[in-house]
Amino acid sequence: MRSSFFGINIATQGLFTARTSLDITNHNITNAETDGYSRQVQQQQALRPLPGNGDGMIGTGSTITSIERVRDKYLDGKYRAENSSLGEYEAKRTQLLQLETIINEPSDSGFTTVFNNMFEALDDLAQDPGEYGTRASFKDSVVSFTQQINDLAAKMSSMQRDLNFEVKESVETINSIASQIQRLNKQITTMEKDGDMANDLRDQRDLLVDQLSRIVNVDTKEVEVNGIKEFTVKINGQTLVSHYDAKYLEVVPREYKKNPEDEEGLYDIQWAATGNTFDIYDEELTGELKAYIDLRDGNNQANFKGTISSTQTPTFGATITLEDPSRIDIGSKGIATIDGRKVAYELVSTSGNQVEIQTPPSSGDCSVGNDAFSYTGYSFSGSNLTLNGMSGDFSDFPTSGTLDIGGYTIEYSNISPTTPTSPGDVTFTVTSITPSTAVADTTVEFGEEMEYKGIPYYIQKLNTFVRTFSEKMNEVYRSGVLEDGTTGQPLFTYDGYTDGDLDESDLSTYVKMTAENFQLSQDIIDDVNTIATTDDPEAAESDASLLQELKELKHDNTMFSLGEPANYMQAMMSEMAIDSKQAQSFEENQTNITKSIDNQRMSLSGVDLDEETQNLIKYQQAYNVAAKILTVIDEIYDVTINQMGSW
Amino acid sequence: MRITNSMITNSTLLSINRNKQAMYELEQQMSTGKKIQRPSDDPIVAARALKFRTSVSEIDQYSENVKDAISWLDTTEQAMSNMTDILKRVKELCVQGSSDTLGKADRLKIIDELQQLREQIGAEGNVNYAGRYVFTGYKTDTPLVFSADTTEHYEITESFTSDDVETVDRVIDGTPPEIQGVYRIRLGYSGLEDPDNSASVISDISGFTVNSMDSADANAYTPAADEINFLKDTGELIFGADAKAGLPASFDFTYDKTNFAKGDQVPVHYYETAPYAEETDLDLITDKIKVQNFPVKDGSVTIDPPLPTGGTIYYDPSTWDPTGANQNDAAVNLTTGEVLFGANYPSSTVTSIDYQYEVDGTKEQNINYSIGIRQEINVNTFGKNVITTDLLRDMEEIIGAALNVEDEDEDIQALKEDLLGDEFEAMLTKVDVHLEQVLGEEADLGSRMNRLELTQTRLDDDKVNLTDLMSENEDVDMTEVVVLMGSQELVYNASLAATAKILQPTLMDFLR
Repeated sequence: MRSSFFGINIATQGLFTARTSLDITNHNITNAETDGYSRQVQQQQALRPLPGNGDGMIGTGSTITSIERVRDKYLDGKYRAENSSLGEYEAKRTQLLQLETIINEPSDSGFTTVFNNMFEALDDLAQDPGEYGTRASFKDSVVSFTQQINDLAAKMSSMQRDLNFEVKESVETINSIASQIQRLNKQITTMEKDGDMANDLRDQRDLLVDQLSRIVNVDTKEVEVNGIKEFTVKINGQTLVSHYDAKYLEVVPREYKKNPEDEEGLYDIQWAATGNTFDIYDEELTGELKAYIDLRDGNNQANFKGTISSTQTPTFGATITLEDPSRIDIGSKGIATIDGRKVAYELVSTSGNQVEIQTPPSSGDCSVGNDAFSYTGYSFSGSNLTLNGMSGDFSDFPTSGTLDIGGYTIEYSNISPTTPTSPGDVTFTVTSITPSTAVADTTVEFGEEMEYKGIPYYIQKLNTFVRTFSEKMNEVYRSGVLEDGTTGQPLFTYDGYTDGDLDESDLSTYVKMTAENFQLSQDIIDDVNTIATTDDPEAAESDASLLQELKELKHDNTMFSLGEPANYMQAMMSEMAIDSKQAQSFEENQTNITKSIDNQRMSLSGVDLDEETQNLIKYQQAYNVAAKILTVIDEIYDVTINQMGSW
Repeated sequence: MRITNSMITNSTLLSINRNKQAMYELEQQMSTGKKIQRPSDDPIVAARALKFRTSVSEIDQYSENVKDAISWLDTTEQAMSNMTDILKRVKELCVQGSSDTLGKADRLKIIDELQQLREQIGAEGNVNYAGRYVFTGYKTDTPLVFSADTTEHYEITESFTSDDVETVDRVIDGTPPEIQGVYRIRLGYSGLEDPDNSASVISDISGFTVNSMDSADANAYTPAADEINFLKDTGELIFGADAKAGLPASFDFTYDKTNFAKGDQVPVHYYETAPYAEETDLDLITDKIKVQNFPVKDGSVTIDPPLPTGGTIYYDPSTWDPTGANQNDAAVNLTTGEVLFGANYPSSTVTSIDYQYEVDGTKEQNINYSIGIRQEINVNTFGKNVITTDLLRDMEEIIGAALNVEDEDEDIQALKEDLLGDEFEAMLTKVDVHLEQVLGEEADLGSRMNRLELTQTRLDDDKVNLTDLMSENEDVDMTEVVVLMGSQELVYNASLAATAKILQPTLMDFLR
């Protein structure tokens, strides 16, 4: 015989179930516009039935077993992959648009205009070289031309600094997200101990991963270990958060520039705890970070490449001659990749067809064990390596061990003196050097070969332009004679130029000239009467034979491989425009793709207010009816208890 | 598929945004009138736009050059047409002069007018365009002829060939006086001097002695057969018969001239000259002085106060040792005009330096204007081709002969009058030659002018074509943009309306 109050229990269950469902609906409605929220649904089931007494099992009501969020991990993964690409192209588009603004073409004040103005003024001057006015106007137009280029280069450099800052910002954001995810991991694990799902916290965590995927490509995994779900986030294949453990990135200013055009102190990224490199040049990398790196460091493969001279058998510390250099404007120190191994080098000399380097550099930092030292010079002969002026903390200096210097690892068996003092010379008895010495005919690269056309590429293009243009103009202008007999002066120099620094027969003298420091000869800026107009020492007022020759250079289509000087700059603008246009259309496509996946996600996880309204009514009615049942049962009791016995 | 509210919000927002973007682009096209706002809008249009800009700016510059060149040529042409008029008048006067019945008064009148005309020729030679003399090559700051009497001192070297020797008639004061043909070369100037500063007063020509004298001196026009008379007052070289026959094919003759009259040609535009200069306002630099004019003529330098005893001036400073062997010496760098001093003669003691510098007036100095890519036009005309030495000397001679006609000796006067008539007649032919010379130059000028006018027309056409092309390349077609804008607006409005309709209602609105 069932309990008399059995019905009340079922009805109460009904009320509870309906109330909970209403609460879930309520929760869904209030979070309809919450970012990253996925709708929650209740898993409802009938309670265990009671075996009846001959008339079958009797139901005992309903209950809610769990509240789950509706979410598809596959879509999340897909969304994040596309979102990384979107982040990359969006950032590239924004940055390239900015670069286009700097170039300021086509316009009435861009490069083409000032360049044309300069040659117009030159033509005017050639017609009336004696006139002060035409001289002054030529000077002014050349100054605007040089300033325009200086300004272009300076703005590009400043943009590179901004991009560098963006890299730092990205790293900070990644760190902040990592720490939030790590905290959420803890909370989620704690809350889910009894088996329920911490839906809203999970939503928050997924939202963070979504945000992270914009900056860098991510990968997540949730595995159950000993009944605990461990959540792992990897960025570009490397673990950022592993359950309770967050790893942080940090930026370190570069010791050596990768590209000679670079600003000082660009950041590399490494893992804070281990000091291991986070490879920013990895091909798999996407996201905003990739965009910033590409634009900040992209050199369109124009980094230095050369071959070790075939006549050389270079030993450790010896001067290595590199032949067929791809360029000769190289920073004084840097990292060279020789046969796939990275070692530090110092530039010894450059000329038109060869570059000499010394590796490791003649002074720098080294380390023994875990202690850092610096040295001011070294010499290597036989098996003795002497480091001069070695300074650092010499307490507990091992008499045998490992010395790391400029990318070389040196094992030594003995030192002299045995108890060195700082600063002082220390001689190591070397047993092995790794990597072993370079081999003749090996290719050597400096810096990093990058496909993308970033700031260094454009600055390098500008540098090539000013160097070649100045060199060709100077070559002609040098034959000029001034009224006072001065001859052989250059027309274009650079800030910091001293007489005789430039020589058209040795192009390596033009390396010091850059787009940022290039200028009209200071003599001419100070006194326009020092503009030479002729190469005839007996020159008379209207002799402008020299200027006629200079004028021709405007249309010298052998000056650049791309033709006339103006064509070179137009080509550069076109390259930028095409890249920018490409970034724009990629961004547009990527927006479509990402949006469509996001829609799929929202289609599944989003809150549909109509549906919730329906639910509201559904559960309200369920509640009402359950309450009605309670009334009915109440009436039954009334009849049974009060009325049945009062006859 | 389940469509959720945030999906609708998201996608409507995206499409409204895109419509807005399209509107914005069209709006920008409308307000700037340009198809592209930045290169990435259309890299090809942008690159082409830059090329067109360069071409248009070049055409503008060439057009301006052509206008300038035309003005320059106009100025030149005006001067030359004045010259033609002057020469025509000279011819008329010569016709009058050749008449045998010419009285003294008539003669004086003709002389007076001829003198006026000669001056006028000088004025035409000094015509300038925007302050620059048009007839003087690169030396646009120096007039072609002196505009006032001057005492400037020049050493002038003229080059001749043996064909330059002509036969002229002269009245020779003999017994009896008679008209005789003499061999002569006329120099560029009269009123000359022997060149100073050289070892021999006057150098021989090809082994024949040159006597320096005046035309009034005895035997001035009858030199010994193997001698040459240099007549300083009239500026002539008179050759004896053997000297004439033995002349080399070409030879130079150098002389000095100090006093130039108004209307005389400035030698630097005609001859190889070495003007004399004296500098007292010296630019003192330790151990050296730089003179203002160079190249300095070899051997021409004198220094005041003189160098210490035994001191010499070297003209080749290559083995210069100021503290050793050359302590008392000075050295001149001819090309740079630098004078170096030995240790015993500090440069601060120098008070003045006299020297000569070299100017070669025989060089062709073309002033060229650019009128196209690698196309230039020469705008100047050389004064020495228009106002030739011969022209001025011919006029000077006829004036001189006319002034000189009176003589105490009646026979001589009769002969001179006779000769004068002939000379006026001969002058007619000469003027014709000069006229032809000027007309030839004028024709050359005319053809250049023609070329310029053609170029101007071509440049104007090019400008129109290029501007059209440029506009087609980068300017928007307003009608098209307005139509596009209209349809875009429609789309935008539609998307807004649709959004309003779909976003507003929920099921709630329809429940009681």
